Amino acid sequence: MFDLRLNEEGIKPVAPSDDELEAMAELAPGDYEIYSEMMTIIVQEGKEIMTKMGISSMLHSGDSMAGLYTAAGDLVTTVCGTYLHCVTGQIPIKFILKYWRDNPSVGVHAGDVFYCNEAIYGGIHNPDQFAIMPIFHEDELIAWSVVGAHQSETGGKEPGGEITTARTRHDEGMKLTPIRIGERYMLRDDLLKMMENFISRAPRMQVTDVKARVAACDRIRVRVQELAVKRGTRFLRGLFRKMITETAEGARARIRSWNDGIYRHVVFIDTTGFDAALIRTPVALIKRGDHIVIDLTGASPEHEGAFQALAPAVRAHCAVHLYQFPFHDFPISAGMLEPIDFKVEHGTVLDPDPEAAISCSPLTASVTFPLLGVTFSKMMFDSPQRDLVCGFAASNSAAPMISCTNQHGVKVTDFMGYPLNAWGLSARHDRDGVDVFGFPHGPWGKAPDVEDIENEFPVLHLYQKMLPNTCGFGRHRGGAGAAIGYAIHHVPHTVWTSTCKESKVPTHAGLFGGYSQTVVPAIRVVDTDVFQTLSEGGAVPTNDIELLEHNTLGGRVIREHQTRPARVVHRGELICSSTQGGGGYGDVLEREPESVLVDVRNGIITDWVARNVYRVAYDPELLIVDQDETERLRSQERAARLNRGRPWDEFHAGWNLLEPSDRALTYYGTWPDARPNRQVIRI
Amino acid sequence: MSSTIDVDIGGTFTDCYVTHGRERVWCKTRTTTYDLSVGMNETIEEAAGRLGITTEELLADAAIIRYSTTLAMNRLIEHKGPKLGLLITEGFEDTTLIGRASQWSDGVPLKYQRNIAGVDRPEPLVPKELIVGVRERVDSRGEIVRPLDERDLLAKLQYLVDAGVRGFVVSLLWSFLDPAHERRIKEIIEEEYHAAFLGAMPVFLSSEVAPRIYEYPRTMMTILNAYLHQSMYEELSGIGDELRDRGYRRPMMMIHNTGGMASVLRTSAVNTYNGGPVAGLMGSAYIGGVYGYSNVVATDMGGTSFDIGMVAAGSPRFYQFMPIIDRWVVDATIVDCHSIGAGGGSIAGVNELIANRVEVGPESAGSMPGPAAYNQGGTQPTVTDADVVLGYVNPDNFHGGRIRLNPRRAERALRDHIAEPLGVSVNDAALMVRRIVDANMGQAIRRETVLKGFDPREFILFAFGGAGPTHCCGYARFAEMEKIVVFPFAPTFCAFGSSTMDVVHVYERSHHLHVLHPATGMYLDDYGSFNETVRGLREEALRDFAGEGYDPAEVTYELELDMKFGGQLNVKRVSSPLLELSTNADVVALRHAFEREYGDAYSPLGLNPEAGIEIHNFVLRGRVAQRRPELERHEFVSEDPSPALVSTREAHWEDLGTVPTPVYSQELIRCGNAIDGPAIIEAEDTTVVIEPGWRYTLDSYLNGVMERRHGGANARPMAALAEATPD
Repeated sequence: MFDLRLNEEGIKPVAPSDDELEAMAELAPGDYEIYSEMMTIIVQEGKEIMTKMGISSMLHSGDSMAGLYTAAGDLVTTVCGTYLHCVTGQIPIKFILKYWRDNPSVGVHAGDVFYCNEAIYGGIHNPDQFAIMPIFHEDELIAWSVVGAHQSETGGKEPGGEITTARTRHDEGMKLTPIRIGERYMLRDDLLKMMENFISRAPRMQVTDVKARVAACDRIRVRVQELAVKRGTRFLRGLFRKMITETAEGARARIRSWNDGIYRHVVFIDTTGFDAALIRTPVALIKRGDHIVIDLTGASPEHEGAFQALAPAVRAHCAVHLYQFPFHDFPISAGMLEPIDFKVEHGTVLDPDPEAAISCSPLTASVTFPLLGVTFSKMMFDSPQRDLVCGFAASNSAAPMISCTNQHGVKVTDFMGYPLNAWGLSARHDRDGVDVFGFPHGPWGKAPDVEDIENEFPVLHLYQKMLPNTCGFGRHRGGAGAAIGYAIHHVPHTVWTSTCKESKVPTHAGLFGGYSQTVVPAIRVVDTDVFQTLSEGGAVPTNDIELLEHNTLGGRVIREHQTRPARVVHRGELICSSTQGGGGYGDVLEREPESVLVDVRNGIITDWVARNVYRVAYDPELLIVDQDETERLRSQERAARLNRGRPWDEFHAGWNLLEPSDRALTYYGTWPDARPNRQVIRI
Repeated sequence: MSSTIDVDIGGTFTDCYVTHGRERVWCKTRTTTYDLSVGMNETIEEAAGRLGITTEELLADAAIIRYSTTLAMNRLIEHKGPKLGLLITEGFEDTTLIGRASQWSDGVPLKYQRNIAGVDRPEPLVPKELIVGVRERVDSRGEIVRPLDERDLLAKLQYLVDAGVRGFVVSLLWSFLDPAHERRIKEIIEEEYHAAFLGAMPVFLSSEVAPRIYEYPRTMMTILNAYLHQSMYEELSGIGDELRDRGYRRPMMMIHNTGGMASVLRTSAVNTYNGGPVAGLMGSAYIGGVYGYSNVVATDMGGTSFDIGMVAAGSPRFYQFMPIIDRWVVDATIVDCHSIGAGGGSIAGVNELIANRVEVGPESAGSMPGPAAYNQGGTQPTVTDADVVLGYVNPDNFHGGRIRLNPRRAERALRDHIAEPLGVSVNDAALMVRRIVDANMGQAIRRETVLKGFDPREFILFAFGGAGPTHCCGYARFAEMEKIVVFPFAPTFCAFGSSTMDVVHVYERSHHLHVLHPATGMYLDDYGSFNETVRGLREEALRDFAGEGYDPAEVTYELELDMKFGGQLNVKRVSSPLLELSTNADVVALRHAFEREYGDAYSPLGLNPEAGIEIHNFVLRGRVAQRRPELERHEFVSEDPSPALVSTREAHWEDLGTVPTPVYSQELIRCGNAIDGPAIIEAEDTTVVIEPGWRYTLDSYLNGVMERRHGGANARPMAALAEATPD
């Protein structure tokens, strides 16, 4: 019943028709420049409408998009948010064209509004909901508008939409294949009510945000129709095709300018969702001439958890990196992916059975961020286009979610937007990364203010600031991450989940000897009343490290994995969330000692790291470098490295004897090549 | 006293507009960035000279001097503020350094935002080592949950003083609800570090500077004011001193970005930011009223940027959404003037990777080296170079002949960088550059109008700035606008705009109220809470107006409210129909006002009262109306413009090719003269380009009205969706 071929082929643009090519050739000089910009402004208008009307925190955080597509469903232009959805947004249109257009019981008509959140046909996972409208002019289907955004509730077995304990798709709540929810420019109340029923933990958000998406889609439709009246449909066909074709040709030209080669990297995931585990995801970036293959074969076999992603989601995550780094200056259209092919192995965590749980797929597919960050950086360094060297970010990009009846008596479920937007950017070839850079999926989003969150949710922040030692160390260090502590306030209890991972193993984004970013701790303090401590005055912890080293809050400190199934947190208790920094670049011994001390002074690293990692000697009070002693320590460390060094064969022989514990390898597949070694039974 | 003097001190030029009896003159001089008063004095002297009187005579006769300045922007770019210490709630010391995470994108053109490998945070105005955490906490209901730890505070103050700070900014969480801790900190600083020991150590409290919800913009507002305060005060006071020495006897009034003005002493630094463009918009609103145009798009095209403002229903009532000053998000009421990187100095180039796509801006050649034609070392082609090559701009009469242009350099730049890579003629390359920059500006107008819920075709276009009249036909075409007004004083329009402004003070306070409660469906019945908030703001207004010598009876008030449906991320600024509530019907009226403005701006589809309706902020505007300049009407002379025809020169046009084109002198054109495009009118500081298909008529106010002979087609907006959808 699942059309997997559609979601594989739907990402590539359809071949141009003769008519489109002729119409393209008829464009006057300047038309392409002027009207391609106009198309983008039209889409931007749509996106702003959605953002200003909506509720979901993801609208600020950046997990949203508005796009314009050809009549055949290929992306013409988009404004994001995140580039994820502009890529996958093609698939539901192609689904509608394939299954509904000529189906007399459904059909496609002017005034229709379609809607979907099934990851197999367009989303990354089912929290991603899309409104889709066909755009007609004089009875001819000329384009589609699509507006989508992540919404943090799906009616699954746990709140929040990303269901850490899901074992199959049936645990994950509402999953709509593309259905028509509006006809003749009217939304259907019965279907809105059905959605509310599914999303009863956050009905207000569901209805408001459906309307926001549809209003935005409709605005795009109106604007495109206005242009069709003025310039005619043939002009639009030619323009759309040129926007796709020229991007593809530009992408080929840029790829051609880079050095051929095969560039590899591997990272490991540390959870299946319901269990801590070691999961492998390698990549080989194969560049030849004007063509690239992103080969992701060799990933661990699929498992029973929700930390796996369908192949379209993986490809879309690759597109996020491509659009944000090597092709950041390109117009965004389906043409960008034309010279790029993907190899994703079915039956792995990067493309499991359609019955699998995949609601945490962004946490899985985003392994492509460090994978492509590192491999593309190697290629850019070599080519050389070193201004594009950057390991990007960890593959975590998530946050805790709260579900409760808030202090205003309203049922709410949503992400905590701050940690979602608080990940560090990795170091560049000539400078450090960016501290608390943003949400890697859509870094232009905004982290909310403390007062914003406390106004809408029953929490009081104990702290929210950068966390020392979260960055990857190196000649240039990665940007720092952050730590946030939430005390439950005003209400007796709340429910929390979290789909962050990397509490045990970071997904390495370091480059050329730079350290990986850190792992992220997860802490709760239970059986206490933070407010009692606060009201008595005196010291309280101001970050996770202080909390663990000098807990003055009383109660019991629980350390746990960041992947947290639903748990009740009571008034006065504390739940913490922290984020990772970015990977480092180059040898730590090459970092300027003065820069190390600036980091100490600013709380980016601790004294221990300055002395033991960077090997800097300094006056701890005045923070003045002892240059001679530093040089001596660094020379000593270089000599120690040489002593620790082994000939390749000797190292290899010893290394190959090492193996993680059986416990860690439960879901890994065979060691070390991660081939299937157990049967997964879908219930 | 019958004279008024209005000055706009811009980055490159200082503009002046003077009325003296029935006479009015305007002029430009170079801005003297080392000392703004020098340029200001020069421009006033120039204006006096044009009136045939001495500067002293003009100043003695002046009833008012109003001015706007880019000084705030200059100081931020130079990073030359005092060393400040920031006291912030403990645990949140990185708030301004993190800046909602993507601070690196604030104030940066989209093109650079997209290059993730190249982004960086701005250098903070208060570095981390000068930020300390204060042990205290207030919650979202304004209740103190952690008392202020004064002993800890004293130690941290000593640390900051030892570090050499010259002022303190205090910004604590929820301080706008309960400012007790902030006020106590100020008391302690004043007690412990008395001015007698250390000299002036100003203390800025966020609860006083910007008592609004959201700690990041509130803190940045407070920092910016503290950072700019001293140097701006000294410099602005200096300007006044010199003019007073020469005979001026009245207060110096500063133009505010709130759309009003106030004396320098009652001006906060942040209010002066972008005052010039706002003055231009206010002037547009005034002239629109004189003409009976209630909907105006005001456009100002200069050397580096293109500013757009809107007057709708007679009022410039739009405010910037999340305004950014330099690289810093603030939460201030700033009249919305949107700016894009398009101007005479915008650089054009060919993107060889993407289909040889011609791109214009946002990079600008600025005034140094400037366009290639400036002969100052610039080699890249700019919009001005295109205008010169096309024959529109007279190289011998640019800025009244004060800047001599070299057309051969303009031609070479276009040939090398555009024409040859594309394989087209230099004229066609120039036309393409012009068409693209015009399209960029036209589409920006479309975007600004439609995003506010309007159709640009229902608006009149006002074009000013040095390059506005040169390009307005082009960008009007892309915005689908049919009628343009250009002004003889277009290059000094912002200075003219100052002359139309009232004395205005704006007071804001966050106060959260449910107009319609989501859980109970009940309307607000705590009228006292609403009324108390408004009353508090009125008292502040009365204090300030009294301090400026105004009679309370002269002051009028307008109340605006930031409202939203429950749970929404963004608020919508709404004009309140009432200054106070006394019945349920008043509350219902408030609800309907919100729903009407919300539906108009976005879509009636989004009306969602079941989610509840909330007020977040109260914004009270107090106003003392000022006498406006009277625009003199002139008798019709003739339709025939031939007496103003001074020459004919070859100019290249899109549909006509290169043709002899009549050139008229602005000075010689008389009321009623009608000129059909293609034609060119040369004025001292601008060139009016009348494209084919447009007719220019000098009207009875001696402004040029340009009308298109044919209009664009309308598409039917689909209202059915909104109308038929249940809320």
